[in-house]
Amino acid sequence: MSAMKEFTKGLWKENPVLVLLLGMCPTLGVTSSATNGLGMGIATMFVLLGSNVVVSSIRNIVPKKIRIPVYIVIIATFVTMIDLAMQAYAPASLYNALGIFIPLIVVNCVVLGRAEAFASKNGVGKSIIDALGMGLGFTLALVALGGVREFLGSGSLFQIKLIPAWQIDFMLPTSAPGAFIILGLFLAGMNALNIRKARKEGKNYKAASMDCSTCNICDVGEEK
Amino acid sequence: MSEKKINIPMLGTFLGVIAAIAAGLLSGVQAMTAPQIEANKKAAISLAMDQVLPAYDNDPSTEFQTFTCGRGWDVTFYAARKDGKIVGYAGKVDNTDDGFSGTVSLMVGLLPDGTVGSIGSGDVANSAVIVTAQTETPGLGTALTDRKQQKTIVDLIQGSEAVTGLVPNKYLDWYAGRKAGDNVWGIVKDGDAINGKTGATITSRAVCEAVYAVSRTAVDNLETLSKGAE
Repeated sequence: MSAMKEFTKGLWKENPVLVLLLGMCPTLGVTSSATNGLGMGIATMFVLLGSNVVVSSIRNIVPKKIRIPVYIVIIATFVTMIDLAMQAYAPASLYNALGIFIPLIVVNCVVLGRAEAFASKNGVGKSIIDALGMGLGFTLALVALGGVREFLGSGSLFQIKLIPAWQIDFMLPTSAPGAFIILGLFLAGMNALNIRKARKEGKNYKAASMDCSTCNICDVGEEK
Repeated sequence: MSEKKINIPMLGTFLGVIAAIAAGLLSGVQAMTAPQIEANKKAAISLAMDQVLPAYDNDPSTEFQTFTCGRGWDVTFYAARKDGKIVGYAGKVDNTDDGFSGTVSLMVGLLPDGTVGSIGSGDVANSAVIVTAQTETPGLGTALTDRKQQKTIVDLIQGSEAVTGLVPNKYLDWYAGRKAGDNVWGIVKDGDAINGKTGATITSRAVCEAVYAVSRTAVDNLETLSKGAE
C-alpha cells in the first residue's frame, strides 16, 4: 500500500470513529462542543503517534506473551505526559473540559488497536503515517460531531454564536442521548454515501472489516 | 504446534525494565511541568480574586484563614487590604458535594462585614460571585455558573471590544449586597426567593447553598477573621 493510501485510509475508509467504531467513550463524552472535540482529537493523535513509534521500534524484541501489558505501559506513559503537559500549557478552560477524559485515552481502543493491529507488524515510518492518518481521522470525526452538536444546541460553533438571535439552549444535542442520535445519523450518512458509490461502480459495499481474520488481538485466529 | 516453555523470570524482567524506563521518563516530565502547573493554579486563584475584590494593594494569597462551615465544607478567606486596612475578603469554597455532577467551586467577594459584594454600580451592578470550577450539564446547569461572554459572528465582523470585568449573569447577580442571616437562602421552587433555572434545579440549589455557606461562615467568624488578619 502506498504511503498516501496508508494515510488517507484513516480519514475515510477505515475512519476509527465512523467505520471501525473504536473509542466511543471519548467520542460521545467530550463532543459537546467543537473545541472540546478538537482538543481531545489532538491529544489522542499525540498519544497515538508516540505509542505507534515506540511499539513499532521495539516490535521485534517484545516477547509475544507480554506484549499487551508492555503496550499498555507505553500508552499510559504517553497519556500521563500529555496530561501533565496540558495541565501546564493548555488553556485552563480546555483542560477543565477534557480533564477527566484525558486519562481515559489509556483505554481508548483506537490507540491499543493501532498498536496491536498495525504498529506491531510494520516499520516505524509506516507506523508514523498510520498514526497521523488515524489521529487526523479521529480528530475530524470528533470535530464534526462536536460542531453539529454545538450548533444544534446553542447556534454556535467554536464558542462563536453564528445566529445572534438564538436565545434558547436546546438541550438534546448536547446531552448524551443526543450524542448517540447524532452519531447514528453520521454513520447512516456515511454508509449511504459508500453504498451509493459502490453501486455506481457496480459492486456490493463492504465495510472495512475488523473481524477475527484481520485482527490478532486475542490470538483466537490461526497463526498467520 | 509445539508447546514452548514460558520463561516467567525473563518476561517479568522485561516488563520491569519497560516499566522502569516509563517511570524514569514520567518523573522527568513531572519535574519539568510541576512549577508551571503550580503557577497556573496560583494565577487562576489570583485572577478570580482580582475579579471579586475591590482594589487592594497586598497579596491576599499569603493571608488566609480556613473555616469549616455548617455543611462540612472548607471555606477559605483571603483578606484584601488597602493601606493596611481590610477592604474585603475573597471566600473560596472547593469541596461542595451537591452539584448535579459533583463539585461546584466558588469564589465570593465579601465586604468586611460578610455581605456579598457588588462590582460596578447602578443598573449594571454584578454580584462578586464567580464559579471557578464546575462539571454541570452544558447549556443547563452552566447557565447558572458561567460568566462567559458569548461572542457572536456579528462581533467578529464588526470587531466589537470584549466586555471588561464580570459578565452579567442574572442567576449569580441576585446575591449582590445580600448578607447571610439565620434563614438559609433557597430557590423559588422550594418556596424561597431566588430564581432557579427550570431543568437545573439541583445546580440552582447547589450554587445558592454554596454562596450562602461562604457568607454565613464569614458572618459567624467575623471576629476571628478580622483579628487573625491583623
